[in-house]
Amino acid sequence: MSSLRRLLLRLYHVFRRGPAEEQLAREMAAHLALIEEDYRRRGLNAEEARAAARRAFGGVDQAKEIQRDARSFRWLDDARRDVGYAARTLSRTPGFTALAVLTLGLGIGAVSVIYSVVRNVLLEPFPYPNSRRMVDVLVKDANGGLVRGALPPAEFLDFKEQSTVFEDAVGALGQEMHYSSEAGNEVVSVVLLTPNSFTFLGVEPLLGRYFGAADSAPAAPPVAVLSHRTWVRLFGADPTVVGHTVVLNRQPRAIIGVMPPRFEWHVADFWLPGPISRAMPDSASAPAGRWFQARLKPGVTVQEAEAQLNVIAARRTGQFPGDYPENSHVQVITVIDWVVGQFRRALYTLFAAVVLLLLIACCNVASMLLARATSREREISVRAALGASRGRIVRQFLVESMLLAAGGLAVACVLASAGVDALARFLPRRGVPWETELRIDRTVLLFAFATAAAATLFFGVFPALQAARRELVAGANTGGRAGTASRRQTRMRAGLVVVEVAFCVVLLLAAGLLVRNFLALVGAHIGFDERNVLLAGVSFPPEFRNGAGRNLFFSRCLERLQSTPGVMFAAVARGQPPEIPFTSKIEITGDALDASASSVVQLCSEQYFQVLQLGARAGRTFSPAEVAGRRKVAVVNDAFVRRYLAGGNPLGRSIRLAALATLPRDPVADPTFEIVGVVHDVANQGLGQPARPHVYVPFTVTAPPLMFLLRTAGSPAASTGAVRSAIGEVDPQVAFAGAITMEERMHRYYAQPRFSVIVLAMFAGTGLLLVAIGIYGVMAYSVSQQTREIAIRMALGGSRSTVLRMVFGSGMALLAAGTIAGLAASIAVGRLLAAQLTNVSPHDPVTVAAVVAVVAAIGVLSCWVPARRAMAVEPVAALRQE
Amino acid sequence: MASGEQDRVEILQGTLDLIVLRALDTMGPQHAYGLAARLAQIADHPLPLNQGTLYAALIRLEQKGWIRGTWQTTESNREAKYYSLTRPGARALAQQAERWRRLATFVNKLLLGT
Repeated sequence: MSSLRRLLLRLYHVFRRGPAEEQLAREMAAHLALIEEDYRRRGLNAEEARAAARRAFGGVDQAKEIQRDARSFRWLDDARRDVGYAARTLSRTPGFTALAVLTLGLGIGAVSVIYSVVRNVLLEPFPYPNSRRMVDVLVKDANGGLVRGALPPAEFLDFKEQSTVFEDAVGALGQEMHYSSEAGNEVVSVVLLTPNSFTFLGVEPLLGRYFGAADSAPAAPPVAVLSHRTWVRLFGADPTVVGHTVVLNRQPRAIIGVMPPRFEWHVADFWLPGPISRAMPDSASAPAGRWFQARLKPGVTVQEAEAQLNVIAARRTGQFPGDYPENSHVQVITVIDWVVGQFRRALYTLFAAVVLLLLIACCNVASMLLARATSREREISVRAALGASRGRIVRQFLVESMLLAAGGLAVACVLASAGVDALARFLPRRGVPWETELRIDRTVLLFAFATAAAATLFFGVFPALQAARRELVAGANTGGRAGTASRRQTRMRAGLVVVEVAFCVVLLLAAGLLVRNFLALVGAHIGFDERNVLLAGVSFPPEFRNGAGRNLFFSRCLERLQSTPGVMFAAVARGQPPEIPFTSKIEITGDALDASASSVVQLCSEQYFQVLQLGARAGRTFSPAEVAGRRKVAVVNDAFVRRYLAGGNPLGRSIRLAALATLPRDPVADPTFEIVGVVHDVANQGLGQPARPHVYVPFTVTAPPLMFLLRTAGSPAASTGAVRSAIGEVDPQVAFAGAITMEERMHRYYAQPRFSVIVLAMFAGTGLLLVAIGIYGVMAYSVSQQTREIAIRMALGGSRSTVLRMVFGSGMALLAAGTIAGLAASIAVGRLLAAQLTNVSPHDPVTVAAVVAVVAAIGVLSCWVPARRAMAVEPVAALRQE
Repeated sequence: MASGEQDRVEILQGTLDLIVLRALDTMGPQHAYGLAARLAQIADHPLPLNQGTLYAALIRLEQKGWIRGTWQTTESNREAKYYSLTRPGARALAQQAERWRRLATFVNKLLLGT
């Protein structure tokens, strides 16, 4: 108690010294007077008494010091004084201070923003406890292709029960269901969860409760748990929603709970109990498989788990040979890797880039501080002469640096919160967990603080040591004139500029390559005009099993849509460019093709060619009668003719599409088609990838899942309502499942690379600006230092162009050295980037040339003003000043 | 001078506080000079103490709340800061004295035993 009281008082006295000092002086004076009085009483005269009193008391100042030490914290008191002094010094040069604080704020802020992205996307994206130990289990083939993600019940349970590496495992099955309300039918995303799932995920519901084993029993009343999104969208965030009934696939279910916003397990609208047992049938019509997610026991690695599951799989192969194609294997992958995938590399690249940016900022501030130390030489010499130790002077400099960093940190916090909001807006959806919430939390703030501290050390220590190392006496002597920088100091500043330029070259190159790559991607022609195209989906209720009935439904909808004003062409197709996933092995009658020959297959209606503007290059496209009559005719693309027919005449040839004969539903008995036409290529393997051979056949030969594609006269989004009402009019039981314009679809396709490009380009631009400031600073300073030399040269007859050459020469030398160093470093960086560059070589000469040109231009610009100033030196005036 | 130094009793760290508390306890409120004079009086050896040294102990004790200083006038009509023992100070003195006695007994035993 008393110690605490003392501690607080000591702290108090650090900041309130005045009154206590006064009291102390008064008390000591009284003390001395009392001793003196005593001595006088003993017979000493006034003079002697005073001397004796002083002797008895000891040193007054010493006593005061002793008391001060006991009263307060000396070191803290000193620190306070240093901070005050530093603040006054900095406020005397507001321009310098503002520039340094802004530069640091920019650097620290940018690093914090990207750190917050890395943290919220890669490190801690999930609200679930121990999510880093959560894994997915998949079966893959020899080429890494997915055999199955959803495991059949027996396999699921074998993996769960026979393994020892998991704490617990949960199963999920995603389904589309029809949600019926007064507003009509709507497709919602429903995920069936094993009863242990919610306890596994460890997130408490926002309202009500979640389901457990009791709700999953066969006789239990049907229940549903709502996602927060759906609660807001369908129920207007009604707080009394628990207990209401929802109708999903015609079955009424009681809502028992609502989950909080960041709970997005399998991104469902509704979660329903979906227990799993060996007794469940494993058929295509009633898929009972489950995605397998588990939490590894602490200390168990992914590799160990994978090895154990492969042993179990090997045992099962004897029992279920069909389940495991040759060379297939079980893969265990952490959930975060599964979700983030390639985007991780992009984010780490951005993080590396932003660290470079911070280093550039630090170099700049260090170089500014060095210049400042030179002009403050006299002050330092005087302080040293008055007894300040080197340690004390270094400390003074460090305190100034710390103040700058603190200011930078404050600016950084403001910039970072704005930056995070801005980034959140164009963060791509793909590669980012739905649970991710970009925000500045305590960890990010701590990180920013640590960054500021590290930056202080980086940019503050050089100038501080430099200042302390100086010959103090020499400084005091020359300080009378405008102090000149020592050679060492000039070298150090020049070195900083070289490093800065090198970093900037690396940044620019990375940004340049990504921009080129992005432009190539965007510029890659999809093969048709993507404007004015609308894509729309439908969803059939579960009892709508009849393939012929579905085809009839589509034909009727198309009739309606084709006569809708504003719709130029309407078609259905199984997939859409730029990626069409369905492929088949092919045989061509009369030609011996490689056994592996395959082609992309598109099942579509006749106007598909008009929607995609695919005019027949040879022959013709389908007629309505051919589609309605289920005729086995085919149209192929240029790539097909080139690859499989060696450019020969394709018309009239017969091709066999084996995959159509083995479709799980409505297989085609004899999938041999006659080629009636050739069209040009459209992208079918992704943007910027060359198109593969492609065969178009009428969708009516089977009954595939289909989408609507419309080419419209005006805005495609305006036709969404037409699609919706056509569906409703043809069959009110069928639900509209959302629409998207082709442009928007392409936009999403670019989202990830666009994110990297924008962020990196911003960093590179900022870096360039900082480098310009840095070069300008060094050159302007060296010109002001060399004023006398320039004046003498001119007085001795040197021409202005010599002066110009001198300034430009030294500036460009720095630039050249930095550029060469940067290009060398870029070879290593190219390796890091290579995986993200699909359309450009990491050593693209155009980009390298452009970067060198930009850096050179910036260098010339930043040397220009100092050079002008140097040329304007009036020899007589300059020399007279000395 | 050299031998004089050797004769002095080194004041152990922390004992000055105890000495001041005890002096205030027996003498009642005192100013710093009064305390110093009293200490010089009872010490057989010259105390290794400039009077100014007392101030560290005084501020320590005051900050702990064990003594309180108030400005008063002396008999000779001068102003001086008088320190008096507070109630927590009296308690602390009892504790410290007890601790000191125990320590002294132990050290004495140790010294006599050898």
